[in-house]
Amino acid sequence: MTLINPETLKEIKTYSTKDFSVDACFNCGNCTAICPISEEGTEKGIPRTLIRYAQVGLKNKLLGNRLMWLCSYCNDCTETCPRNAEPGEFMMATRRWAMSQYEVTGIAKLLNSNPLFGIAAMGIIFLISLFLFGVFGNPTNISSERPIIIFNLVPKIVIEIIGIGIALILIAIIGLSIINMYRLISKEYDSNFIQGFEIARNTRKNDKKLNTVFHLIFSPIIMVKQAIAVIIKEIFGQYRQLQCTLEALNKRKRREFIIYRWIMHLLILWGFFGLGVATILNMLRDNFLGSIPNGYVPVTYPIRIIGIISGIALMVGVTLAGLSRYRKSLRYNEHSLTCDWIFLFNLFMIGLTGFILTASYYLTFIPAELGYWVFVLHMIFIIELVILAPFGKFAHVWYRSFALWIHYGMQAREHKLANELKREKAKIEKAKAAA
Amino acid sequence: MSEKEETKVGVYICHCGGNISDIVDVEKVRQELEKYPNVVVSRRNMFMCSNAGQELIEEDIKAGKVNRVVVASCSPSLHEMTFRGATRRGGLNEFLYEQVNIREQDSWVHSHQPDEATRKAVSLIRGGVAKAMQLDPLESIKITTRKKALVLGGGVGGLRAAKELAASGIPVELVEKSPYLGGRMASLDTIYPTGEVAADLLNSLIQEIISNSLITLRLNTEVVEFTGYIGNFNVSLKEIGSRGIIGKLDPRELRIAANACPEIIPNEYDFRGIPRKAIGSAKPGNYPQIDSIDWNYCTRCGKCKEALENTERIQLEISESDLIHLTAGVVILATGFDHYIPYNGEFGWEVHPNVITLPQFVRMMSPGGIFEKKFEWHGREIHSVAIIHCVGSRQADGNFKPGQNCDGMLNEYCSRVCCSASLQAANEIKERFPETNVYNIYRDIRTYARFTEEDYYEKASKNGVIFLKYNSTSLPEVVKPSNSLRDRRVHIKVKDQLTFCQELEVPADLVILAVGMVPSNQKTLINQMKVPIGSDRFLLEVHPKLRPIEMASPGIMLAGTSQAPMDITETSAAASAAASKGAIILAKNFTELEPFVALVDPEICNGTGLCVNECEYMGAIQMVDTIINGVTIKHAQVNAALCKGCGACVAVCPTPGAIDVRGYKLGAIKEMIKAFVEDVKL
Repeated sequence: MTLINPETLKEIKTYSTKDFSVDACFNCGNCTAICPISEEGTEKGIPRTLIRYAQVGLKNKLLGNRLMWLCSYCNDCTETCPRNAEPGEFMMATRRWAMSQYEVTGIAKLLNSNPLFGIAAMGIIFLISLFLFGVFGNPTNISSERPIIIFNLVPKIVIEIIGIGIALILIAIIGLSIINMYRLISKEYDSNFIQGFEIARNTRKNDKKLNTVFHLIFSPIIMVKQAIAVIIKEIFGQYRQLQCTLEALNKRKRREFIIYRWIMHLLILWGFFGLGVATILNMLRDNFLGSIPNGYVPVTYPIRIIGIISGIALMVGVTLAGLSRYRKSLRYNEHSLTCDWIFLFNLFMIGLTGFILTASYYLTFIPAELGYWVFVLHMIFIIELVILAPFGKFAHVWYRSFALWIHYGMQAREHKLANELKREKAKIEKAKAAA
Repeated sequence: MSEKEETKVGVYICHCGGNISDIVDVEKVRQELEKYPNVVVSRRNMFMCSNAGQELIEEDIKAGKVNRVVVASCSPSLHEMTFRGATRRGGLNEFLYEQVNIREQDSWVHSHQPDEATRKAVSLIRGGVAKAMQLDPLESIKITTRKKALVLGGGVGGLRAAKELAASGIPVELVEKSPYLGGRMASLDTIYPTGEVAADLLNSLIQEIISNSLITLRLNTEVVEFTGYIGNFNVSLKEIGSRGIIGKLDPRELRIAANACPEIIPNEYDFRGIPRKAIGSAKPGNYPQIDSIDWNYCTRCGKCKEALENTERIQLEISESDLIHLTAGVVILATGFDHYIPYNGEFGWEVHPNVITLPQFVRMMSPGGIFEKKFEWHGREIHSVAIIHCVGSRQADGNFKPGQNCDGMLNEYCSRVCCSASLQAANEIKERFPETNVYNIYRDIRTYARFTEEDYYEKASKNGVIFLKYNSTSLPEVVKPSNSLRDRRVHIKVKDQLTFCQELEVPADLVILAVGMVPSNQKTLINQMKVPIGSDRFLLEVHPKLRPIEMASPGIMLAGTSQAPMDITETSAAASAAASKGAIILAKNFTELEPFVALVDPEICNGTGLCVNECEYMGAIQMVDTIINGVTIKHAQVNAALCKGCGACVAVCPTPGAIDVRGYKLGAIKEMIKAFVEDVKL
């Protein structure tokens, strides 16, 4: 029994700052026709299919749809919609809603649907971190001597324990949420997949492979291959986004310099990734090779170079993103949630404090004391970013990547099965012809 | 005449701009016909119906060349009148004209055999010539008409027609069976597409009717006898009974009387929504605002009278009133429609108490209805409403069963107004009770109304009304949810075409069936008047395009939903058209009928009476006694006004030559056939 639930759509609509009139959608399918990621078949005919599911409240069908995670809001659907139902904004809101449904603690729900919660959470985390640094830190070690040895202020071990503790909790939350997501997607996929391969099932009833998606995901060769593909192509190349962007560019000949978005996103991503690499390399070196004597790291030191370049990339990317959100210059970021801003704000603050810290490290006319205090701020914003990561805008990193991974895996498997089916059919026909 | 004057036939062959001449060798045909006996002129023309073509005929007649005209062209239904006019203008009796159809019956159907088609054209025209030779000059039948119109039905159609007729100075008798004017429209609240209040519109119309001295209102009256023909319809009317209440009871007295009345009856005005007593008050929008007793249910127990201390104002004895005899020149049928009543169990009708019909719902939402202030059903707030469309309409290709008032027949037609009415209802719910979830479960939607075609849908979909689409092979099912006994809701199972044929369940506190229209129960009247009905049981017009509001019997017109499902706009238009047609007929004090009717030769007729039995048209032919040369002879006589010229009487008559249809005499047909079978040598 699938009971209609009109509340679902109302709920989804609270995940956008815009009161978009997706109720007006009459399922014509213009959006699906123009959408670069929609494919043949009901379940893949997004956004139309998803809007209909939301209208009648088929929650599991929505949550089990992996294709919405491929969407990067090129806004073509909204522009072609004859009913002004804003399917693009609907997809965005649905992703936020889905995220808060997958997420196990319920914090994502509050963060995404309540603008004040994010600000309050930021404040609380700030105060708690400050308190912890106050308890464990030793401000008397601050001096104007150079080089700045930041761990004189807060012992490294404190930072590491806090960091690892937070990381473990967050990894658990993220893991459970991903498992949730996988469960829902595979359940939906299972039924649709079997529906789609009805003939195959009838002819090969005993083939258990067809009846469960388990084999599909854990068919190790396929999945490892696809994981590599996703990491290289999608995470570091943002291939899907580029494709959508280019297609939108070709089709619509939009004046908006939409590729700007792809570059901006890559800058943030690479910058963030580079900073992470630099930090981890630093940590590894400190722990396994021992600290650099005198504590002075020259500006030409390779890890430092990686750090500085990544920092610049991140800052440029975040600034561009922030500006475009502020100016609402791109259609997709016209309706920013508080938690989108929080994410950008944290990234920006991390970058900014990082720069001031680096500057005060090398430029002697800047008082060394400033470096210490800025470092505290730097750490606090990192904690803010990390703690809010599983719940806010940041979470798209793994939901999207995971969905892409499953998607590629399923596609590969379907492709393989379709070929098998074709071969089998040909075999049967050959046998028939021979008879 | 033919003895006096030599018959000279003129044959005119039309090319029809190639329609005929591309296939038929018209020149060859012309030459062939020129050689045919008695044909003096044989011509051909690109378009005989053009002015030049018609002038050919006129000039030949004027010059005395021809005295019979045969045009070989299209179907007579298209241009018979054209060429009859040309014949008349030439100075010849217009009935000395014969049309031969060599387009529909020749060139169009034999386009691949041009030689054969040419041969056939020659044969057909020869037949036409043979028949033309036998034609007699005829005169149209003139009938004096009585300048009075009878309008049956006091709904919006009848009122409109009466008003228009009276405006052209024609006295009108407006007959309504119920005690009130207004018909179905009186029970509507606001109406699409303007959103005006039905009662207001109706009242302004009723005011005009009652203030017009040319209109005689006959409420509570029905037709008991109907005879006659155009210009002279004889109608006997009978008052069903007085209102039973003389003067006026004040509301308190009425309440006492109603409380005393033991008869609880379904309230037709509310479509059985809320029961009432046999003695009851007039509803808003009704005219006149006088209370009445429903004689169909009253048992004359006298309890109401007792309760009011035997007041004289309640009269339970119906004095058998005398019949009222009227003669009217034209009759307008505005007998309206009934709402479809679902069969028991159709979408949960009469199985689940939460299932009601749209007309009932409209009453409930109207001022004074149970939903006027709060949206509650049996004491519980209504959270969700489902409207099922197409109930009792378009019952084709599926698991349909006939409704209660459909004579065991399925309604294959679309009732047309329900889509708009349903969406209007959905919007009204959303506007007045915005927290309610409204579902429209439809088959197809077309909210047609000029200028506002999509407005209702637009509004509904933006208001968040959810649309679900079913198809005729899997109808929605209204079921009680099995999992909860306390649940007073019903669930509607729909295989939703919009959600990719997923089976969905819609929970509903209230289910509204958008019932269609069925013809009102007028069997007696239909039998009395001998008017044809269509396969949909609605009254049938002569031709949907050419004569859309006329019935086959001349002088009877249709106004509104007695003919087909219509909305108020269309009903008003039809009523105005019917009134105009009536006024046209009555504008002269006579009317002309085609002379092609049966004619009896009393000297030959043996008076067997077989023709009388065979005749389908009541009163068209009857036996009379005539004294000829002192001897009383019993013979048949035709009433030209009633005869349709079908020829059934001719076929059964055992006495040759006793009866014939003018213009189609047996002799003429015989000659025609002879000519057909002659060899054509080309």
